[in-house]
Amino acid sequence: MRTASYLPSLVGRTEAFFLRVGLVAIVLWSVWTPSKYDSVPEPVGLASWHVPVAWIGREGMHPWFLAGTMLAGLVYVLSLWRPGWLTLLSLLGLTVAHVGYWTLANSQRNTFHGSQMTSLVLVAQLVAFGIMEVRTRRGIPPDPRWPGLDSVLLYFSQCAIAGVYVVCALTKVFKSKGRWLVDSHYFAKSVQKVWRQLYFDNPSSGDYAGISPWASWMLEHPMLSRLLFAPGFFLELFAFVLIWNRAWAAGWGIALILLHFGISVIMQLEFPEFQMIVLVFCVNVPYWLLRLRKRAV
Amino acid sequence: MLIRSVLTHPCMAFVAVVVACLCSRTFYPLNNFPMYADPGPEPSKFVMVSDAQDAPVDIQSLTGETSAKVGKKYVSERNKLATAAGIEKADEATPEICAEAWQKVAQSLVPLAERRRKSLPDSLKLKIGEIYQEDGAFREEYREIGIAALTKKEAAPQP
Repeated sequence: MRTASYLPSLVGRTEAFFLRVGLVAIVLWSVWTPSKYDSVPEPVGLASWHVPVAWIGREGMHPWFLAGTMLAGLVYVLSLWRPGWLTLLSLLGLTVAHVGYWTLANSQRNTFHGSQMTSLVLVAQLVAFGIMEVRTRRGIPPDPRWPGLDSVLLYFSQCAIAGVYVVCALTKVFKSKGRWLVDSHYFAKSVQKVWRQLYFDNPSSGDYAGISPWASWMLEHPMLSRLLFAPGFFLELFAFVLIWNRAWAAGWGIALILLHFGISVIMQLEFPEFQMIVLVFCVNVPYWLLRLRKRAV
Repeated sequence: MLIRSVLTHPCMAFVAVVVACLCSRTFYPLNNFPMYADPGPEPSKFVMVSDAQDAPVDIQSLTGETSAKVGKKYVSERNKLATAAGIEKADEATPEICAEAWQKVAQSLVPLAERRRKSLPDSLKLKIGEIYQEDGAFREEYREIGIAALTKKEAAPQP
């Protein structure tokens, strides 16, 4: 059955299994190393509402924290066969673990953006679960807008991903007063700045000394620099097509992953968690493999 | 009827994320993602942490914090102190406030180094570097913010 545009796609159990495994793997990867921090000098998010997060970084706590996250992840995957409060509890556990861990990291007087997308996907999935639970309790039958739990979990995850990219683009428009593309050749010095920062991380290594070859090239070719950055801006601005349908999600998702690779080559800024989340929920390789297999059969 | 139909469409989740992120600016995990949002001729800034003799320190391998993170912490602390002192523009904070902010941030690096069983120098100096992009060339300037004398709980083994 073909799904209408901008509506949740129908998700089968096998695909849902891989989506859940993918999300759990990303959450575990994200919180795998012990937190460097055990206090909140400048609380942000829930920590600013006095929700305790410092315990996550206390000495000896990490193995227990990781074990709890693993258990929540296992239950989340297995609850595919027994939906209900087990899904809610396990999803809540994963969300608390990820949001708590990164709230602590972001409460150190600096902001790290690399994990926010995963946290937002988890929160979006919690909201999706809440909506579907209310519908079930009220006896509302599935319809094309709300076809089933895992369909809506996938759709809300894509909404969170698309939302993050569109916000990035809109902030660029607002902050630069619409001049972002015209002024993007000035990123030559930003590239050089990152080069300097990397050099001063560990100056005795001698890595990243001198001038970045990319910064040097951009300095010499301002117009080509603008053309280099323009596709990235439009990929972000029109990222809402991720929720159009599966094909657009996959195509745009691949383009976004390539965009991050490009940024990591030129600016040495890496967002592996963004790439993994996009890979799981937008490119969604298992779905396409299952579809190929079905056709072959 | 139309409004209700629109508001109950599942794509409202996308709209909600966009509105919440733009409005909250920074409430983890909500953020308006302002990095690299305003390119322009203003200089790009970075920080250099050195010992008292101006020799740059391997701040990441000693503390786990990158120089960029140290810079963000310093700016945040300076802004906080400037606000407390009634200074409207944090950029106009007095040299004393800047030095005090650096003292606090540098001291906060000590336990991070101790957790890694590394030892920081007795004093850490902060310099802010500025890169200008002018007439097809880069120009760099350095400005000293302050030198912080560190208090250590116990002598940690040398790296």
